[in-house]
This record gives sequence, C-alpha cells and structure tokens, in this order.
Amino acid sequence: MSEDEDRKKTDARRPTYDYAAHFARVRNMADLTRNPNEQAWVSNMPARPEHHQYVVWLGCNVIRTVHIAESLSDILRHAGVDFVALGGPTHCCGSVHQGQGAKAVGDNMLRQTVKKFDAFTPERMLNWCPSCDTQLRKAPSESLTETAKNRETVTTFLAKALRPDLFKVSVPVKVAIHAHAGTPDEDADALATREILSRIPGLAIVDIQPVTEILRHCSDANLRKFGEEPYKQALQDWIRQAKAAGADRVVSIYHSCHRQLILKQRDTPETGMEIVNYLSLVARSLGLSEREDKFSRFAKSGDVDAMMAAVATNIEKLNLDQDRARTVLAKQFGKR
Amino acid sequence: MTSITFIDFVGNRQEVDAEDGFSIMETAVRNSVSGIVGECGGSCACGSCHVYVAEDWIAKLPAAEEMEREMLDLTFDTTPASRLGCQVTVTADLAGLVLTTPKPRA
Repeated sequence: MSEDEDRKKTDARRPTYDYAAHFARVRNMADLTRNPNEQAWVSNMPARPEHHQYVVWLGCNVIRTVHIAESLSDILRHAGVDFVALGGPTHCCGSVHQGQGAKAVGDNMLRQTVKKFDAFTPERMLNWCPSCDTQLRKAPSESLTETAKNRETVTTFLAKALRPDLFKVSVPVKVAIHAHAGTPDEDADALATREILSRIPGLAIVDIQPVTEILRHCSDANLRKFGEEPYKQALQDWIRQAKAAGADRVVSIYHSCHRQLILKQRDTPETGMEIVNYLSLVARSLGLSEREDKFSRFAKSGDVDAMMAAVATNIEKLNLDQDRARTVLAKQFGKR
Repeated sequence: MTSITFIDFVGNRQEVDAEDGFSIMETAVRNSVSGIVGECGGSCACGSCHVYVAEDWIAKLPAAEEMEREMLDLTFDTTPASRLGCQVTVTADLAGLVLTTPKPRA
C-alpha cells in the first residue's frame, strides 16, 4: 500500500493514516536488508535490562538504511564504548503521528519510548535522528526523564570518542558534505562530521555551502513542505557545485538525507554522484568490514527479481513472507 | 494460565494459554497468532493489535482508557467491539475470552 493509499479515509470520522502499515514497511525493509544473524539494535525491551553507560536512540526510520545503524554499532564497539542501541518502530518518537495531526498519540508514543531509556540506567543518551530530537524539544519538560534531557547527538559524541590514531586506513576520496545549517544542532553535527572526516588519511573535503532551505534534515515531512521538484532542482544545483569544486562523492550525515539523495537522483544519473554516509567512510578508515549499502544498490538496480535473490538468506533465516517482501521491495525500489 | 481463544477473519480458531500480567498483544505475538503484530511494541500507537471482542465479553473487560480510545479512532475497520490488545492485561477473570482478528488490509 502506498502512503497516499494509507491516507485514504474510510468515512468522515475514521482514520486517515495506516500507522501499522507504515511501521510494517520500516520493519520489513530492515529485516530484508540487515545482517540476519545479528540485529544491531534492540527492538523489544529485555526482561531484565542491564546497565550501559550510553543509550543510543536510533529512532525508527534509520533502519530503512540499515547499513548506517550497523556501521554505527561497529564503530562504537571498535571505540570501546559501552552502549545499547534502541531502534525501530518500537522506539518511535511519535513524529509520524504528529505529522498526521494525532498529537495525543504521538505524545504518548514519545513518553513510552523515553521511559525505556532509564531502564538501562545510562549516564547519557546519544540521539541519532534530528526528528526525534525535535520531538524531545517540543515535549513538555515534565514528560521527559532525566536521561532524555541529558543527551547529545551521536555525531558530536563520535567527534570526541574517535581519536585520530584510530584512523589507520587511507580512503582516497574527495567529498562534499551534505550538511544542513541554521540551528545549533545542525551546525554542531556538520562541524563534527567535518572534524571526523578530516582525521581520515587520504580523504579531502571540498567546501560547499550547507543546505539552509530544507529545515533540519531531508525528512519526508520537510520535503513535503519544500516540494519534490524544488528539492530535486536544489539537489541537482548543489551536486553541480560539488562536481565543479572537484568532489567525487557526496557524504550524507543523516539517514533521511542519505535516502532522499539516493532516491531523488536516480532519475537523473547523468547529473548524479555517488552518495555515501560518513559512517561508512569512518568504518573503512578504522579498518572495519564495511556494511554494504543495499538501499543504494537496490535503488540503482530497480530489478525486483535481483533484489529478491539478494535477500533470500534473510527471508529464509528470519522466516519472512515472500509475497510481502516482494511488495515492499517493488514499492520502494521498483522500476517506474 | 488463562485460556483465550483467537479466531482469524476466515474462522480458524487458536486457543492459547495466556500468562497473567501480560497483555493480549504480547500473548498473541508469543503464540504466533495471525493478524496481531504489535508494531509499536505496546505503546498504543499503531493499531496492529486490533481485535474484536466477542459480544458476551465486551462488558466484562475493563473499559478502554482515553489513550486507547484515541488510537482506536485512528485505527481502520473498528466497531463497538474493538479493543487494542496491547491495552488489555490478562487476568484469571478473562478465562474463556474469545477474540477475533480483523481482515488484513490490502
């Protein structure tokens, strides 16, 4: 079912958005593309949560580009960080509900998620998703626990935790960073990404102005406000500048931007450029096995049969429904 | 243990022994009851644990609280017999409860 179909009303009073279908699509995409032997995040709370120094709150949508969540886990482990990552629809911030006008349900979802952080008695929460952070900022203070208040972004944390001597492997690429600007957090994440990437031997950063028009990140909601065509146009202009300045890769920071950069430029590959998340480059330079960006591979291919072959192991090991898998992949990546 | 029967939309019956203190949704997921997912993990935020309560049981269940009613308003194909499984806790009083799961949406 497409998102437009999800929004169809059944009658005047009745629902306008199928939240179950939305969350199922997110979970299905993750299950089809993740490492089937080990999930890099906790979906369901353990009966007896153990203490961890940090709770990493991934939010729900990052698991659609699962290599980002898996790379982050690899990197934190490599750096010796004691953490537990919470992610997927069971740890939604309620922004999807808020976006549909269901404020009470969205607030409740956020409250339920926030409560879970404290079960691990962390010293600090590290948040990945800008939308989740926005939800926390909008929430009444009394609905937040101390852990939810005592937080910083994953990227600024990594800038402190990843010592320069950890970066061993040369990554000879010239990158333009797709950063957003305009709020202290965006600016801090952009600066932190630049600091981290500058520690990678062989990597050069090309200076391009950050995105200022599309709010905090390229979320579905922000793009709906900005407009699909203006976004594509702005993206093409930005990539043209990056190419002219000598870049050979665009580096994404947030999962939402990564996804949109890939999806929007697959229609115009002649003006496009390879998109890579900064965590993939970090993992490579740390000497870790790089997680394949299947979202990018599938988006470029558009061949659903080939995708089904690529996810066959996951379907078998995770006991996933074949028809459902085909539907999810076709709707996300199928040739149009 | 409390015996609860789930009936899917085509009429297949599945009787499960539910552990008191867990929700109907958790009970269904643990027993692989078809049609109940619990996508949001029991946060009353997705409607994927929607069930229809058998008529003679509707009044015997604790009434839905405001948050459940809010989410039911956002859930497709509800009727006066609708409840969200994540918001109903299994107790011995529910022995013999009969629930039907909705027809999956296309």
